[in-house]
Amino acid sequence: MFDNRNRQKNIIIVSFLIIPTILLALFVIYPLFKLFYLSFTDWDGMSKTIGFVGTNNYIDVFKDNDVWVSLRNNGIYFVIHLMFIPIEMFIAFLLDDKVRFSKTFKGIVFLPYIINGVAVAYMFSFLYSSQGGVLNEILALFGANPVKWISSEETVNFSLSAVSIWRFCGIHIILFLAGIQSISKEMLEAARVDGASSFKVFSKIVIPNIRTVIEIILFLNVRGALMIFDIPFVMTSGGPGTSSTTFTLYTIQQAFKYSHFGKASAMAVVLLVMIVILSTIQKKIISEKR
Amino acid sequence: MKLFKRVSVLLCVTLIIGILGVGCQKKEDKKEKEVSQEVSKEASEESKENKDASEDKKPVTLTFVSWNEVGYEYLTEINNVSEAYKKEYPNVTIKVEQIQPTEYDNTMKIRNSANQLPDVFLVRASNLLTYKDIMVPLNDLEATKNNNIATDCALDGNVIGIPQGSFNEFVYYRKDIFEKYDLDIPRTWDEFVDTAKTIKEKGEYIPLLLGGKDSWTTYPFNEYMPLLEANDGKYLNVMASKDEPFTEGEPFYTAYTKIKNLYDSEVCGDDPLGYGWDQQKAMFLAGQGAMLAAGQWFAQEYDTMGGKKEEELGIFILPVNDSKEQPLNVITTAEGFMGTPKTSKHIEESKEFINWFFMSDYYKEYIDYTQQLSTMKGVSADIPFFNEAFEDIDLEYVVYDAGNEEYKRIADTISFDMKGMGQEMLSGKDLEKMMGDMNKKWKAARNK
Repeated sequence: MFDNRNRQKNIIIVSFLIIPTILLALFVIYPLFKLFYLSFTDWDGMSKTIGFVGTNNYIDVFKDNDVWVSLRNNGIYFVIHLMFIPIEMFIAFLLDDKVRFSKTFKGIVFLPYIINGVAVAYMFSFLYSSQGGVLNEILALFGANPVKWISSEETVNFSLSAVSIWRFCGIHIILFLAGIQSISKEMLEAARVDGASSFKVFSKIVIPNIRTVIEIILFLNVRGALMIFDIPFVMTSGGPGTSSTTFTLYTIQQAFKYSHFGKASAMAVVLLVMIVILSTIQKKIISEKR
Repeated sequence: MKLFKRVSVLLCVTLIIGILGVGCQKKEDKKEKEVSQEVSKEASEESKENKDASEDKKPVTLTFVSWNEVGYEYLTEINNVSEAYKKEYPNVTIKVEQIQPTEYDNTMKIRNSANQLPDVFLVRASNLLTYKDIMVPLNDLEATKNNNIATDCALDGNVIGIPQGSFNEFVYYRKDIFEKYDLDIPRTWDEFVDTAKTIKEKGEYIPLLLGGKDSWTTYPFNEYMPLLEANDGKYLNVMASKDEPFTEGEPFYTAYTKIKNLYDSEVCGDDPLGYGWDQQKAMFLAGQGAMLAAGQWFAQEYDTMGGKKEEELGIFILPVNDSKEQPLNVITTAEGFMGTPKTSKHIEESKEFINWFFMSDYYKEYIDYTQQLSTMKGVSADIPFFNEAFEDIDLEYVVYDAGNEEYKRIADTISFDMKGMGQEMLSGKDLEKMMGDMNKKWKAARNK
């Protein structure tokens, strides 16, 4: 009887493991290998014949000036989001219980994240528009000159980053909040009884205790900044010229506009490697401080 | 534990055998399918006229995809194509799908890589080369033989699509604004720029609406003017035969100097890169701008938006010429090449549908509604609105050709994007530097 039950248990375990393993192999491992394979070919996305070109695509990626321009644009998103992380952390700390109607505020800060990215981009397109755009109309009320929010090479990436901040701040704050709420209340109360200021509590107790959340958010920041696509795609299509083209947008342009599926695959592999390297460096820095 | 191991091994072995089995089966199926396809193709060609009536009645659904919004409205609402086709082919249902024009090319390429192309779809003129090997040749169709353009666009002797229509490019202007300022229709490039400057000086309207946030809106200038300047629809092929086609004196350089002159006059508003096509259309409809450059297709779109083109709009041909004595070059584009891919499960039915579309009365009704020029022999569209632009003018038609394989190779290598260059020019980029950089890149790509 006992043997039978054990056997059944094992069969169920094995069956349950095999299905996800097959799915993983089919939809993750196989496409990944296919991606690596295509990155060494000259496939144009249409023809049946695929030629092997060795590392030419990777050399092309590194030699292509527009790749570096797009990476610089990604860098702007990365730095701006990074600068906002302490602010997001502090807002989460305040929302923990210090603010009246904090639950309502939590809902409000989380709202932009659940709105569809394309809708957000369209919404901001109208805000930034040079013809009757809300922001320029507000500036006009104060007698200020209109700003070329998305049509000037100098401002376009900052305008787009602001949209990204607006959209993703909420999820960061909610994650920080979850981390802060996991800290024992006794520890925080003891610090306050000992006379620690809010800033001291925040820097000496809260931050060290939410390192794991910080690591996750830093990883999300690296991944998000390097993979940003929908906002520039909808709002500027990477323009004017290539001034707001991001790495992912350029990869898609290479694949579909210029029929370089091989080079686009190589760029996707480079992106993967960059995310792994940058995340590892960030993790090391945080671990050393621990 | 032993039992656990045995069960695991057994399951793994079963799985591997299963996968291999399915794989082999698939291969055999594929071979059988290829052989049977060849046999059935031969058989169908031989006995096309003696088809068994019962086979004809097999229910078939053909998917038909296009990007044309006005066309979609006609095919599905105004005069349902499926219902019209069913009158002659009761067993065939046509399922029409429309994809946003800006997403169309990417979507179709993704569908192609996933082997999910529809039975019938439209290929853009600029993409004919890309789809060359995956489309069924339509050489034997009556519709091909009776088309004015299809055989000229054959690739390696094969017609892979029949153009749904052709259209010319115009400058649309608001009659009320031109009347208010007593402006004449410009007949030379300088007159055109002067007209725009005059409207700008009055300070009431944007002289030339150009929503440069969507880069494609610059195409009447940045993409077509080099061809008009060269008076050669195949000018892109000429460019591909030269090392430095962006040098002073070359048609491309001359055309871009003229465009730069226009853009630098700031006649497209304070910040043309800050608004896109949708706003451009809305502003034109609201009477905020005086002129707009677009193809024939815009006329129907204007009416669909609630405008009254006959009362409100006038049109003229973009005058790229330097003197009135020269004939006016006007670009003509054959567009929407209707074809069927080799992956379709209903190739014969798709070919029959394509043939019917062009050979039946439905075609004339379609082009009348979509305001396109006919590509079929003996069929002319009823579009009097456009006659005004051709009155008393010595015209020379420049038939647009999207470039040969060598041009495409060079353009793809250096990511050559004329509409993107238009955006850069609108943002004030130095033309000399731009042309110099292009020469270097072009030469390097040519010799690669």
